[in-house]
Amino acid sequence: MTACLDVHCLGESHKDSGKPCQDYSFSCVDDDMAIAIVCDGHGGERYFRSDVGAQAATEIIVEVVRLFVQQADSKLFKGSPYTAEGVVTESEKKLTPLDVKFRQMFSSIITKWNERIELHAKEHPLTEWEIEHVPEKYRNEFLENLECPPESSTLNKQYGCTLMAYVQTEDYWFAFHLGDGKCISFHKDINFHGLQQVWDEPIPWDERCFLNKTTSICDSDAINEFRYCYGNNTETPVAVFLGSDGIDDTYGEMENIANFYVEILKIVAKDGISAAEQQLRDDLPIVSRIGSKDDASVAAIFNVFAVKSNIGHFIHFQMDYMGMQAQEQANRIKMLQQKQQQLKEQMSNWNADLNKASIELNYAMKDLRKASDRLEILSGKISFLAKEHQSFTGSDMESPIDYSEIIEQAKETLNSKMIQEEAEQESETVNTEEVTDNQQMVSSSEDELAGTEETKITC
Amino acid sequence: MSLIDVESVPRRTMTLFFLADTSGSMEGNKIGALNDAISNIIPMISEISNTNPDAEIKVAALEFSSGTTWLYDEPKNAEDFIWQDQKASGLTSLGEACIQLEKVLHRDGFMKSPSGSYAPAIILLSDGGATDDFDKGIEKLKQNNWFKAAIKIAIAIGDDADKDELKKFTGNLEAVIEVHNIEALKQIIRIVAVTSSQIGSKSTSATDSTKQEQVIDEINQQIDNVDGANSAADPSNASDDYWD
Repeated sequence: MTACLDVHCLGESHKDSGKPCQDYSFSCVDDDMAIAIVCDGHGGERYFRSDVGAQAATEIIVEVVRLFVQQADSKLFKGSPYTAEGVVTESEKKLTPLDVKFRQMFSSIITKWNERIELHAKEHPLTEWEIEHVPEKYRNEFLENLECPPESSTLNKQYGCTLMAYVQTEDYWFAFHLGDGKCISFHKDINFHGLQQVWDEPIPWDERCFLNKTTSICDSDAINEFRYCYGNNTETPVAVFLGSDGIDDTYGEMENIANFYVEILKIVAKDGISAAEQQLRDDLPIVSRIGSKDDASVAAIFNVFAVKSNIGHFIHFQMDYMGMQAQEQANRIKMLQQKQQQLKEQMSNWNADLNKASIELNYAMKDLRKASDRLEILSGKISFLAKEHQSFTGSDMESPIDYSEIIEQAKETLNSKMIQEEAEQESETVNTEEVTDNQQMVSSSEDELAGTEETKITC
Repeated sequence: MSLIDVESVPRRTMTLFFLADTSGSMEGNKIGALNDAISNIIPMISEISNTNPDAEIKVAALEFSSGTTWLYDEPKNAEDFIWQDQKASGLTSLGEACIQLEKVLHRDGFMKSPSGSYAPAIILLSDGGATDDFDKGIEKLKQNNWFKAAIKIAIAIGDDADKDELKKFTGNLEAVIEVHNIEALKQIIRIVAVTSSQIGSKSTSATDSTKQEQVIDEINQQIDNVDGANSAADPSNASDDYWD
């Protein structure tokens, strides 16, 4: 059974500025197709109607993709292995009949989107909020563009957004992307296009999308900025998630994003689709608040039966991911303990740079504490996941690596350092107390003298 | 079942780089003021990092003279960073400093995933001209995506600083600040480091200007109050050098 979910929420940083949510997400499953879409309106002052642009792009993608699915000859996909196309211009590549169809669809999306936003601009004069908050130069640009012939107009800038979609039919699937955000697909517990991977990024990345820079539907060369991929129904993913950059910037590394999506799949497997969507609706604003502060969107298509039968496989990925991080911390602990030994030996050398060595030693100890704490947390998470795996699948996993000895050793090193520091402090305190006693003696004699003097004056 | 696992949401990071010229011509008051100023501003950077909900700030420092040396082999949290006083001697390997900076501006160097990171802020301090192949170094550095996106400010210490090289580094002359005496050097290091950290570690405000432009605007507003400092783009305000 193919199912879907989608949620988008207002970013924490937009609350203060009074800006609307500029992300838009959509998903649906019907007789023709299953489709998930995430569009992210740009945040800059010039793009003051990007929320409208994102919603328009979403609606147009649904319309154009539906036509594509209805008209496309599914034989074009027959026998097609997984194929991915990065950013290439028409002249750089010999286009297959399927590539031509895709380019026609992308061209249609851009054209219809431009028509839609032009109509919106003409029907919706500047609002009071826009007059108050949008810098004059951008308001003027908007007003001037209304009078311009379409070929010289830059009206689309005010509505600029990114877009990303995943589409699945009985015979094939495809996905396309323009701009930032991430698409992640999850696979069955078998080889997928030659790789034994639990998840991957099926759509090639565009290196121009870096930090806060992104390509956009409002770029003059948008048609050549689409990346896409497709495959036939023998390789349909178990689940595909689309997330806006508000999700990327919260979780950072790709593995961490995939880990978040597996948490959603676990709720699907355990409590059902509505529960997962509700949980996402409740938690996404919190994710934005503690993470990127940006608008955040997630849309997904998945096969519920396949999710349930592969959930152990996905939890296995989580355990491997945590295990990899735990091993990194364990290695770091060993390295820091060696470093600590080397630095101690260095400091006993009479001509050592004591200041530098002592700074390095303090860093090593702080890092050792962090690594040990982190390893302890990760060990706890791995044990929890092992139990979760057991409860989902009924089968035990191999016992995870036991890191308790390494954690204990790290704590011993830290404790011995603390004991040494306390001893040093104590000896310093004794010395200070001796000095203080002497000072008090001097001070009380001075007081006595002062008192005598005061008495004398009083008399 | 909740989706919130605070521990798996890393804090976003902004790295502040100091590239400090420790060549022989810096000997005396200049290197003393540089050591003094950077030591004193670290607690301020730490405060900005600790009170900032958007990102934590890490600090990395490279000194260059006849060669180059990173103070530490990884960026340190601002609150943990300790500036080690530098001594001045030798030549000015600014070209090599560019190469070394380029090497760490990668994910397998000092940077993390671009998702979850802010562009770095890079402050270059120099009182002379490169004695090695600067053009080779800067050309390589200019290809680096992190460098392209970075906030880049240069502090030209005295009249002998090669403003053309510093301009090539920052991308424009407005981002080169001249200082002509000890007090100005200390104040400008503070203003540049604090402003870059404040603006660099915040979510992009929805303004159209880049963070570098915002930093330059802010610095130029404060520069008028500093005797002996001026924007290199405005040499008419330059005062005489006085380093005794």
